[in-house]
Amino acid sequence: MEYLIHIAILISIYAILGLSLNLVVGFTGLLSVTQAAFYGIGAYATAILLVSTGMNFFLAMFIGMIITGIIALVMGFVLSKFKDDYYALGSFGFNVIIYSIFLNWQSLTNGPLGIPGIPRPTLFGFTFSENAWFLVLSAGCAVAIYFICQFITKSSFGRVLKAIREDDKAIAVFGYRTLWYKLAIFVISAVMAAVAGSLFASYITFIDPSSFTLTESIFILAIVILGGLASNKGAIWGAVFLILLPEILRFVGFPDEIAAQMRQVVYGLILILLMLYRPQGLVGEYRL
Amino acid sequence: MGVIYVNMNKKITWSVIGIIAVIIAIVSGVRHSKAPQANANPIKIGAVLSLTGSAAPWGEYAKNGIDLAVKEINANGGINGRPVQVVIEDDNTDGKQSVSAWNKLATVDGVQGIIGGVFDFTAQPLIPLALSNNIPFISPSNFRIAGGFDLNDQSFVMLTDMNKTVQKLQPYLASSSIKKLAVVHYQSTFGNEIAQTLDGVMKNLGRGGIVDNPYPQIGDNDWKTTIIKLKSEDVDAVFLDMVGNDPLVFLQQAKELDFSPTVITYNGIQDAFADQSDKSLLNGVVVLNWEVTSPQFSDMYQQAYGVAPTKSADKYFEAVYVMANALANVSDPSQAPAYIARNSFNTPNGTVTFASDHSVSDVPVQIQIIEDEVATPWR
Repeated sequence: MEYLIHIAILISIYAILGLSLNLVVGFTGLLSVTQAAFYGIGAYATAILLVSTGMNFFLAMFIGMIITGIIALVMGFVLSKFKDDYYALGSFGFNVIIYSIFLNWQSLTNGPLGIPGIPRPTLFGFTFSENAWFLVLSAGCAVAIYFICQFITKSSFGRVLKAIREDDKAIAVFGYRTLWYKLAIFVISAVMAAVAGSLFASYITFIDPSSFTLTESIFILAIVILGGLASNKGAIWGAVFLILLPEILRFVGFPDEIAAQMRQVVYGLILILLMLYRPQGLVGEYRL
Repeated sequence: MGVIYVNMNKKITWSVIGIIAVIIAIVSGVRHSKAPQANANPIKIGAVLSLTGSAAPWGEYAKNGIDLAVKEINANGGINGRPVQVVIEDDNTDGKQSVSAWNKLATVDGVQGIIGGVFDFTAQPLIPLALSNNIPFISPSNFRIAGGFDLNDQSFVMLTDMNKTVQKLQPYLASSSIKKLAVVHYQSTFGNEIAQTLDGVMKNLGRGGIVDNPYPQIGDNDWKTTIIKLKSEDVDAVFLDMVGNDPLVFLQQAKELDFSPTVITYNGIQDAFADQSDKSLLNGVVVLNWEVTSPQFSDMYQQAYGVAPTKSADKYFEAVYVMANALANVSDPSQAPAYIARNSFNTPNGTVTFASDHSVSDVPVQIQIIEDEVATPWR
């Protein structure tokens, strides 16, 4: 049971990441590969505040969201100068910078040693020490963020985002200042990723820079693309699929000598097949 | 970018769910049918290894060490008459996947003790789990590093304090004429500890601190810029914290750039040269070898795999002995850590004893110098 609960917690954390990135990539058409940086900033902010000040988790998470939002605002301004492939490259650069800060600002982040002993959340004297209770918390956050995403994407604001994705010059003709819309959704997305980071830090109880590399950003992007761009349900399905699949493959009876390698090959093959036959993702409405 | 609009195809979604369900059903059956008979009441140990990802070369050696120990123990009648069974799970060199692997081993496979965590960042998330799940945990390939790799009552490492091991280079450095030592190290817990310890050693010897050269990625590095920098700083020795093809490339490029310092590194550098015809680059390399294995174990390993044991294969081998003995001699697995802490364990590779900080009391270390492909002990 603990195993299933653990997988469900990971799914909820990655569903938040998928939902948040989908706002930028799927709905607004900005190919960002920097989500792991925001995820990491949220995780580090929460971890540092929890370990060094003993602050309440929820307050630490809130502060982490604000810090992430401010950083995203600055990054968003810079990225607004880029378009299409250059935007992706720019966001790639930011991911590298943030990762490098995690690794090298040793007095703050403890560098490659990471931060161990991150406590679990406490609310009104109740500690989410049992994984089942942590699942309630993480799933609750995922559900809340899903509804926020639904609200955003179905609102007039969301329709402008989709219009920007289709043709940002055309929507600008109608007097919409697309820069502000892009910036706003970029910051909202980053703040949501920070929530996932806070949950991750407190759940695993240890973080180090290796959890927030560019590879992680690509994994989150894969969740969005595989689940289906511009579909909130798709982001959740993508997280379910990509987290669950390697775990299912653990039970396949490959020969012991090559089991781990075979699982990776089968995992990759399934992803390729899925993209061949469902290029729009599991439930997507839009294709890159 | 192209746009297509499709309605959510419920059939496809349910097909995906159905396929996953069928896979679960089939593979559960496969695993179930493969489960060993429980009549011998095996000592069941789990192993979280990095068999894929960047730590895979270490994971493979770790797996070899484990398989060899299981074979050896069971061939000799098991421990207290009980056979040993090790269930291995891959973590893909990823901390969160190591937690997944742990949870599977602990709850699905019902193992009584777990060994593994090949790199520090795959072992770290397992340490609190050992305490909360009350499962004994040994991380064979990790050093204890105060403030960076802290252990609890349930967890152990099979290498001693990292700085204690690196400090064993002091006599060599003291007797040498090295005045300026550079440390080219990966930005990791391990690499930083090497750099800090050697910095202290050089200061103790009154030769100033080290020239610190961290690098951010393992493998496929171009070292020319680093070499030119070290050359310009008149460095006369370099410690290489490198694995994969990095040491080979470094030594090749150093030769090209006419940079010939004393090269110091740790065990395993010969691996990088395994397929190279020009092994002369290794001549004069000083090796801090903390994998000094017994002749019995070396022969055993060589016979089984055709290569010499390295990359902590010996530690994983010993860890199986330690864990299996502890589990066989206590009535409740949760008592195993206390048993491990207060007993010594005889293995074909020597005796293992843990200090009060849960790292092994001492790791035999040998300083070696390579000449004509042979590593001979210094002094």
